Amino acid sequence: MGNFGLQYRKNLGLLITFLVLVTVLFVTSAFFARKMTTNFVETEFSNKKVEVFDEFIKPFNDFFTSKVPEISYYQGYIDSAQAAEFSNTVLRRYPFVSNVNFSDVVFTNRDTLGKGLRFNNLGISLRNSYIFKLDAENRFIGVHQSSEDYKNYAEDFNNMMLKLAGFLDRVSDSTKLTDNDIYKVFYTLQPGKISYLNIPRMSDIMAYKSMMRFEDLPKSDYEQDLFVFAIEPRKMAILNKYPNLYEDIVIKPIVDQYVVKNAAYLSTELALPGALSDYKLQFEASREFIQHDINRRFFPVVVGLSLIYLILLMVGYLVYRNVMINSRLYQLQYDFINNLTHEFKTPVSVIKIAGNNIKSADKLSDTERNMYGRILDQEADKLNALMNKLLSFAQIENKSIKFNGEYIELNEFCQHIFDATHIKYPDLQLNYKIDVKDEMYADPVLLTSVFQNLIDNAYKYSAPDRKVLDIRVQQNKKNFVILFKDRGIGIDKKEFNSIFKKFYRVKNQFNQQGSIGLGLAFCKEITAFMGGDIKVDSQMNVGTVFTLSFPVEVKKA
Amino acid sequence: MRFLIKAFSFLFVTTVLVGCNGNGKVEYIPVQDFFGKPDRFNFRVSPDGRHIAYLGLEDHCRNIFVLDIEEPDSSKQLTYQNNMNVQYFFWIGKDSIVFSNTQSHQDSLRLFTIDIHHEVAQPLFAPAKHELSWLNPLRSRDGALLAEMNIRDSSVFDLYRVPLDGSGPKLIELNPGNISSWYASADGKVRLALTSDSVEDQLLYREQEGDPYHKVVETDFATTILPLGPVRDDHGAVFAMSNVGRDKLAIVKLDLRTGREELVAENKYVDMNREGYSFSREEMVYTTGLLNKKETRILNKDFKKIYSKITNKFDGYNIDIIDTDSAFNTVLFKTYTDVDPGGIYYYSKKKDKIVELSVINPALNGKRLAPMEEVSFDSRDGKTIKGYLTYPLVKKDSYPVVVLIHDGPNRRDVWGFNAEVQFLANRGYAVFQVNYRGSVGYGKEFYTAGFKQWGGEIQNDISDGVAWLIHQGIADKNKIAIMGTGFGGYSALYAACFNPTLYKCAISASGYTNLFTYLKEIPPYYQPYLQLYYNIIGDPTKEYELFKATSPLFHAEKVRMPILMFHGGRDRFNSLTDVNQFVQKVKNNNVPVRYVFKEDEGRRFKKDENVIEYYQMIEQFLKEQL
Repeated sequence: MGNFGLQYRKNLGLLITFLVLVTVLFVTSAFFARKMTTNFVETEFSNKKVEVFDEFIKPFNDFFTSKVPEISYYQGYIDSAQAAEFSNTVLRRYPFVSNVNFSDVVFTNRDTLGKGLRFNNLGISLRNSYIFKLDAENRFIGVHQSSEDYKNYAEDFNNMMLKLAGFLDRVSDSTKLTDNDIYKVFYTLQPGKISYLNIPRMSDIMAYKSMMRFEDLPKSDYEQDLFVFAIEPRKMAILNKYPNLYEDIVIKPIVDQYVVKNAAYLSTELALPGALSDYKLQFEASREFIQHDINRRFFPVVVGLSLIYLILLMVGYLVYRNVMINSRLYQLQYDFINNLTHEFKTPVSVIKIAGNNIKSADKLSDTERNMYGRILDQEADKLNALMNKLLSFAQIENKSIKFNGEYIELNEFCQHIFDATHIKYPDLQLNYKIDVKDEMYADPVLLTSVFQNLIDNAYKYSAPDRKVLDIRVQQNKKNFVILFKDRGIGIDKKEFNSIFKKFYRVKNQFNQQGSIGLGLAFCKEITAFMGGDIKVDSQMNVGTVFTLSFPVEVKKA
Repeated sequence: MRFLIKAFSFLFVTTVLVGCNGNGKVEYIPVQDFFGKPDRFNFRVSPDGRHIAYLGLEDHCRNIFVLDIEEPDSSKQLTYQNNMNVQYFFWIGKDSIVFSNTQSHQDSLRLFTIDIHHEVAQPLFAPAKHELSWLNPLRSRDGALLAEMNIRDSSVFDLYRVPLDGSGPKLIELNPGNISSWYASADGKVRLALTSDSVEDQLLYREQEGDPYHKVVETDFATTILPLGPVRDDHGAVFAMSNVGRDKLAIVKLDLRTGREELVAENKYVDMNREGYSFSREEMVYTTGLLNKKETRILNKDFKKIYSKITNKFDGYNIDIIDTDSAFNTVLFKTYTDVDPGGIYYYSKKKDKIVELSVINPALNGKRLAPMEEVSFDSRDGKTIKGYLTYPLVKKDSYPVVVLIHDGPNRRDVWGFNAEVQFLANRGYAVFQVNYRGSVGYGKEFYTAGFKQWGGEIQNDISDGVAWLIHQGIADKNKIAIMGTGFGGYSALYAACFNPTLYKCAISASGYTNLFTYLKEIPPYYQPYLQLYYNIIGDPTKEYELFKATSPLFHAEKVRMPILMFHGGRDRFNSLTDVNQFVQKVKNNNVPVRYVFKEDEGRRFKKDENVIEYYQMIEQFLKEQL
């Protein structure tokens, strides 16, 4: 403990370490943020495809789950006109349906059978078949199919009826049509094709079953409707919900025999379900494209990081500045105490010497007595003035001084001071000009000490042969302006701000002693106290102008 | 302990009394009390009037019981079946009964004769997989009964004689294909036949069996001529119901040789009911017509005395004559009013006494029920539509209303006790029943006006009725529900699609969702029937636009009101896929749908627990919505 000096310590090493640490932190976090953004974008790239897919598949699902089952609503009563109407809506609403094949199917136990199949006694035959599509001009065309044309669709018909016959075989009175049965029996999905047979009522299914099993039933015909929809997945609309992620989304055949030459930087795919299963959805993005997206996402992160970095730097700077100011203040106080000690010591030692001399002298001549008396008086005055100065400054600082304001007639007031100055500094050439209309509201005692201080300074900091002071007292619209212009040594511009600070002394040959750096600080405090302002303007070795200004209209507290 | 019981019973009695007398508060009657089933039913008088046979529950099965009126002590249980219900029975002589064990249309035919003294059941013939319908009169003649059966071809019924000794049916006459029914004369000979291709009916007559038939009358599908039974001592005439050449069905005596009708009874406003003819007496004993209340005219002098005794005792009641023997020794009848489910009684001539046989719905005995009144209003095209309005007992300025649509449409609502109506009224709803056009009982013109008007004028009549009710200030126009079974359910679903502002919610039990499916129910070999349905509903191939426009399934996305739907797995007029699609479509629009599916129920729920659940759900649903 004792080893620690009590002097003020500035540790710049600490600050530098702080700076370095913060910078390192900034750089590494920026690096990781970048890495994570890249990862994030790449994950998004492979995940968001599901959303695009969902959107993409919606019309198809709508078609498959809502529109197709509508066929069953008609319970086999659909004829070519209704089929045309239905197909027209389908073809126009769902562009991926490229054509619709409608077949009027008859279930019968009669012997006459056209083209069709027979399971025991149940004959399933095709009565009529139509194909519906839109031509190049989007006109609706329906073509009745001859038996030759129909060969293309015979496979669908046969498949469907075989499945149904199998179902009829295992169905019984207690069977309930489950969703699974419906899907397996009445739908046939092949790549590019959906076949749908209208779902008969359970009692019709039982009737078919008995027709299949028994010979001697009344001859009857039941009508059913078979629709085959040709699906062209490439006509399905793709909505790129994430244009920032996916540069290109394409529908491609699932078997792609061409080797990809310039593979995309990032690519992912999704196989399409059911009737679309010969195609897949491929998502691609080039390096530049994905880079762009990464950058776009990284930008706000890096801005945030930089902001934090800047704030930390700012904190560092503020700490540094505080340290510097405190260090200067410490220095000033130290100087002040040194000065003050010196200021006090000189008169005290003079008094002490004068006292000793008087004591040791056997006889004092009148001249000597006068001299010592004058010396003692002078030095006591000095001490007194010094103490007064300190006290009044302390009072001002603590705001314990009272403002005894009154209206001052400036001509008269200045005359008093200038007369006193003549007596005090006979070698000072004092020129003044007073040009005011109104009286100024101020505390005369305080104002006197401001005048005194400025006159003292002008006298003190002028070469003996240039001790000239011009004082102008003027009044403009708002303010009383009092100028003190000397031809002294001048003040460096850099020190304009500092000279009004406590304990600050401009270093020059004129203030080696007898100055404690309080004069101007005192003036500034007092003028501010009285609602005025003090400014300085100066040129080295030419002269200095102090400008006091007080408002004409004073708000009395 | 005994004291406690006494105290409690006293408390119970006083609360019941208070509950009965209190005018301000109406007693809440639990659901099961409305829909309790009687434990004795199908009462039939023996030909000599000495016994009454009925079905009762024993061993959880319906069995035949025989009541001896003269010696009550010798009353007994006749059959002892414990795994099968007796479906129906009838007296074929003073000592013997024929009964059937056939459980459903799909079930095989099992018929037996039984002697009430020996109690031994003999099969009429070996169980067979065809259908049978008996020819009246159901009395043994020469040891045999007459019946139509489809043994040869399931779509064609031939005429058979069924000997009671079990020797098996004998074919009498082949159906040429167009005869829908035969009618026997008093001597057991068959002289009269009705042919039908459903669009056109012909009544055929011959003097003797074996002679060729000749045409008596020909009617179109809107006109009815329905033989009731032979006229005594005249094989050439029958009593019949006929609206040939008139709008309302009348009871006529039809001369089969000339085709001329002699009017027996008619009513200016309504059709005559099919009752009052007695096979044993071969005469019209009385005639009835349903006006505001039932109007009965007694034609037989002997019966008049008996009937006045009954009406004296049951003043203000509707009286249905159930059965009587030819000498009126024993007269079985049922009495009821709108607020009294009533009971079944018999009058014994010998004792000159009325005896109670069974109380219908005893749980409601002494409970205050809501009276039903007939109302009538004009539809938008000026037709007068009748209906019934039942106010809840708690009086209000305006009531929440349940519009209860009857099934059919070829049925009607009638005045009398109706458990469903009373249940709803007890829960505080006014119940409005409409006999919309197409309902039967109001004449030919009114009935045919409903043809091809499903969802059209029929629905308008219902809506106009509701509008009238609102206009009268009876209905609270924000609290109206529409409800019904079968056609009524269809109407409710239709209203849910197309009358979104008139009703607050809809309840459909087995409502038809898809008219295509509905028509599909008629098998293709019933071509004649199909034609009739095409006339009544429409032709699905030619008028498919009408079908699409009026089937709720095609308009499910328009539904915005909450729906409560019931559906039985064995309901053949709806397909499960249709109903599921409908429910799904409605749900997709975020419309609240409560859908109850009972796999082993048919169009109307039969099982007690399902019936109770059905009405509890209705109660809950209406409470939430109104």
